[in-house]
Amino acid sequence: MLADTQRGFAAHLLCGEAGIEESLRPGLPAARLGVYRNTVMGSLAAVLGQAYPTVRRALGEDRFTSLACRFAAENPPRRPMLWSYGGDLPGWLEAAGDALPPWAPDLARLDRAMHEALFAADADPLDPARLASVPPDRVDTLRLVLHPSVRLILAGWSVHALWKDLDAVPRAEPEAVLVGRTDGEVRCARLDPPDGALAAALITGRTLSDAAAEGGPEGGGDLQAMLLRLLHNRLVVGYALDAGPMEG
Amino acid sequence: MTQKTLTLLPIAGALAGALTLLAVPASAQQSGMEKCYGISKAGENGCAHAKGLHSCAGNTNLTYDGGDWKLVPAGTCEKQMGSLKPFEGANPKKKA
Repeated sequence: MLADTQRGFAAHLLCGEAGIEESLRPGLPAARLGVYRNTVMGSLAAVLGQAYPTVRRALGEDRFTSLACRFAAENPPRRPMLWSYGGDLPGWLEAAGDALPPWAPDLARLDRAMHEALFAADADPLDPARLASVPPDRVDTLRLVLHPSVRLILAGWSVHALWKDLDAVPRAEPEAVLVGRTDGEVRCARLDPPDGALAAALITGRTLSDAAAEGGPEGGGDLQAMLLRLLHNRLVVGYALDAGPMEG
Repeated sequence: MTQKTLTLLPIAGALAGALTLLAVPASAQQSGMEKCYGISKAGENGCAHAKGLHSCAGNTNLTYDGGDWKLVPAGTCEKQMGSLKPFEGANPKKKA
């Protein structure tokens, strides 16, 4: 009985399902219940707007809010932590179609990656001197352990340029965007597809030589520049040689 | 790092090269970006705030505030009427 009432109330909050008033209290005006629905949907839409600030600006407040409310009705929060809410929005946007701009799901992925990077765990960067002490003949088998905030998105559109400037004209060119948090600040960098493949291999713990083969010289990726970028942003927190992590 | 290392082992060379470049003083490093204060509109403070953690997701409610910055290509900050240093209040050179 109580469970039924709670389910009905939840359905009302999310979908505006009618007919719940009488079971809560005979004669309860629907408008008063509407206050609750408004509060719930308004705050979920606001949370999504905070998590996807670039998409929100790109689509405009009204359109974003109406999409966010539809998303929230289908995907209510599952964990009691608002920061984690809305991870499924990019895929949902993709499926929703809705005459949305074709770059919207990719831009949402970038927003999400930066949002996750902000809330990811902390880890102390590796002292580069430790890497310098690896014997050169073993460097091939070196695997990097990257900072927990590191994210990589593979996009079909020039979303990094859009993120920097919404007036930029979106181009249907594949690119990767590397995201990481350095000293509490989330940074992102655009990568060409070969460098994206290189970064993806390093992030998944492939050896340097495997990673280089993935996006390396023939593919056009630049291992040295990638290592420098990761070290410079203090995103390398450990490494492993062959078997087992040595530190990190 | 010896020349021998660099030529014999391309992977080790890449690591050695990266570590060598990493040791170059910060002023000469080619991060290519600079912090530019006072040019970000409300909700568009790039992904960053001088105070770090709390406002990364474009959270500022102030437009062109001197405490908010975003990263811009090095050398372009002043062209955009921004400041390389934080300052109090809104940017007088920009119209909100």
